[in-house]
Amino acid sequence: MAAKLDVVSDLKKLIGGKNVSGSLFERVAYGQDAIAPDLPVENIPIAVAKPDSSESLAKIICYANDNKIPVYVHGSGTSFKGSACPKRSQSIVVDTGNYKQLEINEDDFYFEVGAGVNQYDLEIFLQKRGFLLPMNVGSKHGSTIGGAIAVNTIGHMVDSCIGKIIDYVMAVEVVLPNGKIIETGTKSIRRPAGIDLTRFFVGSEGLFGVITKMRIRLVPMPKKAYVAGFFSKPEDIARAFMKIYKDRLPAPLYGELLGKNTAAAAFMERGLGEPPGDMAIATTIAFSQDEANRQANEIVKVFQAQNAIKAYVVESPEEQSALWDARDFITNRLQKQEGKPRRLRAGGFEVGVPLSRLAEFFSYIKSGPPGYPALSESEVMFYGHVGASGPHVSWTVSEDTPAEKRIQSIREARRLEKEFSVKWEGIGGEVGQTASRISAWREKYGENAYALLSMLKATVDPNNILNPGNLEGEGYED
Amino acid sequence: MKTENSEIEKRRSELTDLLSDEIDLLKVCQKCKMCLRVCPLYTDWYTEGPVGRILAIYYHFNYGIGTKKELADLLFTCTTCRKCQNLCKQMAMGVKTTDLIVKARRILVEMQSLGESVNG
Repeated sequence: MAAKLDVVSDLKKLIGGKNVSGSLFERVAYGQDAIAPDLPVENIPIAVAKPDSSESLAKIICYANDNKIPVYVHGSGTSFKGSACPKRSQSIVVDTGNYKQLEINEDDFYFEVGAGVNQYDLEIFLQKRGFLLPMNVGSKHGSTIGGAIAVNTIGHMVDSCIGKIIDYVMAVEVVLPNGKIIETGTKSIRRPAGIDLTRFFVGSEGLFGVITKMRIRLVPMPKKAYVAGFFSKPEDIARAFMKIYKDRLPAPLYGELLGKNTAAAAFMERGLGEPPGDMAIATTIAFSQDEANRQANEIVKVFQAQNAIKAYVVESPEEQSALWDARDFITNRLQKQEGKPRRLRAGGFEVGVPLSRLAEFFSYIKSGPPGYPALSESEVMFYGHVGASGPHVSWTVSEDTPAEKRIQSIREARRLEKEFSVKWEGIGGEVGQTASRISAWREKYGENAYALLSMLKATVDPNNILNPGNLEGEGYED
Repeated sequence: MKTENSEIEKRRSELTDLLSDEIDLLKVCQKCKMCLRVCPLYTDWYTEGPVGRILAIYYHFNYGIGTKKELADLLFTCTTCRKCQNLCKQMAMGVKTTDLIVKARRILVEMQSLGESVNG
């Protein structure tokens, strides 16, 4: 349908020339996400639109609906599962970057934020006013709040301590696939009981509408204390966090693991020397500093009891910053090191596993699971949110590894991720379930659940214009 | 004349090979967009900043997307201040964005001097 239209001109007439680009290189750049394969040339979008109001977006959506043009919503394209990439040809990419509204209402204890506000900017904005942003996504320096709300993620934080972001979202403004604009929720910190459409949209991964604005409850900044521990194997770190729950200690805000080989480059970059072992870090929070410190000391005792090489409360702000930055910027591990060939990523995933099986997860991966020959030959790197029972694993190969072998490893990692989701009774807790992950979701929950989801999508978006291919897993077939 | 042409072809091929080694390394870029935060030229659109420029290089030389003129127009606006390259080293994958842009510029200039149309 779009082939017969001058989509760029039409969009410029609808929302203004400065908000639309038909430049080829622009369209390519907006068609990519973080680690998806190259965008197939035939799927390069026709136009990129940056509406600056919900009404402008509604006009685009109506136009797309009338002409059956696929629309892909782009926050900043930092998704790890391909959801922001166009799966179909002749599409429009809508960038939400112009939704920059940010207002705080301390009397009613909320803030309202546009979908395009950068997460790190928002974190600093709140921090300066004495509040905590209850999420910390790894890509926060580049990514938008709208994208995080669309997948209901808190990133590195621990669910058992802080909840998911849905627990704080009081309302959303949404442009529906038919172009209508609705607002859900409430202005009261007393959340609706029963039906609350906010919950329908938060975490729906853009299948049912485009979230343009959110109202989020304020969270007073807690006092924090910091713990670091070094261990000879990741299983001990896993057991330490399992023990924290078993002993009914308060779950920390952060409970992170960084394998020794994963940490090496980030440590070197920050002048920390060789990591003494696999690293565990935890951040405790409380209303008073004394209580945060008391919890931190309890975690030190747990670490020590689980064979930590060393474990201590990190007092110095410089060391706190260096250790936690080493965790936040672990992509350093893929930088070229002096005298060594560069390592390339060859697959990886994050998965939630039942708490009682957390240590087993690491043993199983280290043992080289049967049926995954390429992964067995790649170097395994552990990291992730063990405090939330959400470990991450990635594999790397040397840059001179043949491309086919690297691709095989990536495919095997996806298959293994599915094995964990289906057989280990957890599922990814951080980056969403559609696009590259939908086949795992489908197998885990079954065809009846998938049919229900498809029916909901068809009801809300009968022309399937909004992010088509994500629910179908197009481009990520097994 | 024939010898001269084959020399030119050889040099073109060398230039493309030279760049393709660098382009291979672009596969490690995670498109995290952090580089946009430090780019003095970025305001609204990705091609005003490092990530858009290096993706343009990648898609042009790998897939023949866009003309050399379009690519040159993007690359020659870069100030080469290296803020993006330094940030990527500190916080991300260590992609040598500025080095690559400079190298691609040189190659485009040399290709033009070898008689290659900038419009193709």
